[in-house]
Amino acid sequence: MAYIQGVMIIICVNLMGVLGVSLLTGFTGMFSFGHAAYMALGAYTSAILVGRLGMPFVVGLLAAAAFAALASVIIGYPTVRLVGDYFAIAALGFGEATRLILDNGGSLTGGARGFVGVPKHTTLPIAILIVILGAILMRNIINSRFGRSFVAIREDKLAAEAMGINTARSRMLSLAISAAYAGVGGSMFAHYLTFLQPVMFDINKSTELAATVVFGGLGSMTGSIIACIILTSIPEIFRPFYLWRMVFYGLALVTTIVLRPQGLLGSFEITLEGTRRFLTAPFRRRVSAGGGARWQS
Amino acid sequence: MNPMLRVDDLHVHYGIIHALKGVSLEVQEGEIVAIIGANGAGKSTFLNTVAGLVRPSAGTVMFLGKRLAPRAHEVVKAGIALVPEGRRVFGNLTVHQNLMMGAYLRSDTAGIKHDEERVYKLFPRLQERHRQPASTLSGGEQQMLAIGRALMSRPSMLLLDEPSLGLAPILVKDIFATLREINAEGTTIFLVEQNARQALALASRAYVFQTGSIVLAGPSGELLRNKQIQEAYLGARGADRKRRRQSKVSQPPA
Repeated sequence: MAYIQGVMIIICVNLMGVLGVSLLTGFTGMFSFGHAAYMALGAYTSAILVGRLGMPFVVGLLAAAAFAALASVIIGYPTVRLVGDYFAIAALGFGEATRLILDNGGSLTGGARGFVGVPKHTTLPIAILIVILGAILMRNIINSRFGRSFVAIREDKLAAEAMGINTARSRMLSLAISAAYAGVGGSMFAHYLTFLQPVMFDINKSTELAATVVFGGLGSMTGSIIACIILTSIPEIFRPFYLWRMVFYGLALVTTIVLRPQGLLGSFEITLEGTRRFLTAPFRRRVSAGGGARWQS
Repeated sequence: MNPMLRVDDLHVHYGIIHALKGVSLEVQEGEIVAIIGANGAGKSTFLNTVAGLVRPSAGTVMFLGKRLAPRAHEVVKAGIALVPEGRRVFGNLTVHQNLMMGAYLRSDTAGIKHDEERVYKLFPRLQERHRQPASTLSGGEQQMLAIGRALMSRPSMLLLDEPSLGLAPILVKDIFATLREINAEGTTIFLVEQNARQALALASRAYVFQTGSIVLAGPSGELLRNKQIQEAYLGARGADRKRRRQSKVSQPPA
């Protein structure tokens, strides 16, 4: 039971990172292969504040979000104007640089040997609560004026600019929000595992986050969530098969991308309203049978 | 009367390419003014510079007596909206969502609603398709959407970059008629066109661009009668063919 709870907590941790990357990549059209760095910054910030300075967990979570966002603004300011691949490469470099800095952080981060003795605060109910709050907030962000500007930039940056959108500022904002989400995920992770090592946040972790978002469908938050649950569970479900489990992970990824290049859900969202309509569809069909004018509405 | 838009000695460089070489012109409130010229004459560069998408290396743009900052969002705020070349609608968004994007800088919900109705009145086709993704529209409908989207910022001046590009002649006629209607409702129109005949029929005045400079300017009627313009941009067939038959040597366009 504790094991299943652990897997679910890790799903929640990854979900925070994936929500962030989904906003940046799926909705704003900026690829990042460095988001593990924001998780790492969040994890270490929270670990130091709560573990060393004895602050409450809530402060650790908020500080993790704030510090990750701050770091993203510092790195984003010179790079956010870069387009396409260039931004992705800059993000990748930043990710690796952060890991190396943590590796050489001396007594503050514990270096490569790791940071021991983070208080355990992340329980399953807390993790689920944070993810639900995070998802609701994310939905509001996407439906907000800024969310619309992100989508416009993804669709056509020049046209977005012609609409009066300050594209540099919007891209920066999207990056900062996505970094804050990853930071919170990192903090949850630190207070679940109680032990941190820079190598946990290497390029593999960044790639995993980006791959999950692509797997779920760019431009679909619910797709990203489903993808994260599937991709985090697969290696655990197949754990009895030991070395083969990552093969199943790769197989799931490759099969999906071959069969559905747009990802699991494409840019489709699963909404309460949509689910209700879907479940009541058989009844409505009967009502409008013979009418046939439904498509025109 | 002070001109609505005044451009003074505008220069633009793309690396070592000198794309605009000191362009100065004026547009009065309520006018329809056109820029005509061949490919690569700097027409689009000029329009994009006014719209704040391209930074000039020298020169000033004054709009309603104030200097325009070369930043697109400042330009839109000041009351200029651009219909970019090639339409550039947001393909995955619906017609309605595209129009809402055009009203990005506004927050007066009632006014936005009213202007959306106005766009649907101008382009009834858009109302029929308001829930469709913009990518499923035809080229003409996309052009209508691009114009409607620009109108949603309630601009006092509308810039259009090649609105006839890639459209059937009948559609071009429709769209130009609507532009006249938009102008009659009080929006100043400044357009760039390769289709010189249509542009001169619509506009009251025009500037002729050639390799980054203005080579000719004047009322449309005058330009339509100008020999050089007829040969270079209007494809004056009768005169041209007769001369060619006589000399067997075709003259290079001026």
